[in-house]
Amino acid sequence: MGRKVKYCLLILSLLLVGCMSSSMMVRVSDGRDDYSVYCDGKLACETSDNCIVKTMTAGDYVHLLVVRNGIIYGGVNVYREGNASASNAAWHGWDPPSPSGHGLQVLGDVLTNFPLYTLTYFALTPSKHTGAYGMFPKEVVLNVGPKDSSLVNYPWDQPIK
Amino acid sequence: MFSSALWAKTEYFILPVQLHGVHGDYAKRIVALIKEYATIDGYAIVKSKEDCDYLLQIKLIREEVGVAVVIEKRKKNKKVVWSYGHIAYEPNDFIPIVSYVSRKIK
Repeated sequence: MGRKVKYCLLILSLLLVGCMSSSMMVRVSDGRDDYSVYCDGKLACETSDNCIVKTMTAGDYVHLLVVRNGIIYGGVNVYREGNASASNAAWHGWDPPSPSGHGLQVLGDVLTNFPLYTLTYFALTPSKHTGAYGMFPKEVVLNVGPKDSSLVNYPWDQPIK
Repeated sequence: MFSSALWAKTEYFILPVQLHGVHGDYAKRIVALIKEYATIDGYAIVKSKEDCDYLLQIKLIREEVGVAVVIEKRKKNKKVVWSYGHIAYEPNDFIPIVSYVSRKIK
């Protein structure tokens, strides 16, 4: 295999692996900027001001939490949106080349380049291996506060009625 | 002896609930919920501090909107071994909080 082709495949692989990651702008519904944002249990943003969460998961969803002073104020599972099967369909025909019928030289070449093929294959067809479709939304608003506005002034200091 | 150790339930003693700007009725409610979930999840709430394996410290702290519910699992020497804090915007929010904590500490 030509050296140029190898480099092209490597660059393409790295580019496509990069495409599996995505960024989400996370906002909090009450507009405060003093929450920390956690993504799948890991601190993603120290503050909720201009918080951009980078997701690297191959899974179907990520779990976001907003936390202030160690207290969880809200959380949500963010799922991949839409269905990218149409765009993935173009990739489904792409498989690692079979060594059969090409002689030992080709077989050796394929074995030498197996990691490269594998990386490219997985990068090109993520949905086959993870079951994940679509991209994460570009922006997510995390709801903080009571669902019912009448509960904003709930009388916590009064006896239960 | 081995089988009794195998089937022994973890025993908790609930320390007096710390309240900040919250009426005592809510302390009673959350303690009642914990006792209920202890039965479901298979651990015991004991009446004597001496008999317990761990202490449970519950704090209800009034925030701008809602109440911060903090539940700490402590060793007998009061050292915190696990803690969970979640906002409750209404009393019914105690249920998922206690349910989660109960599954974690069982």
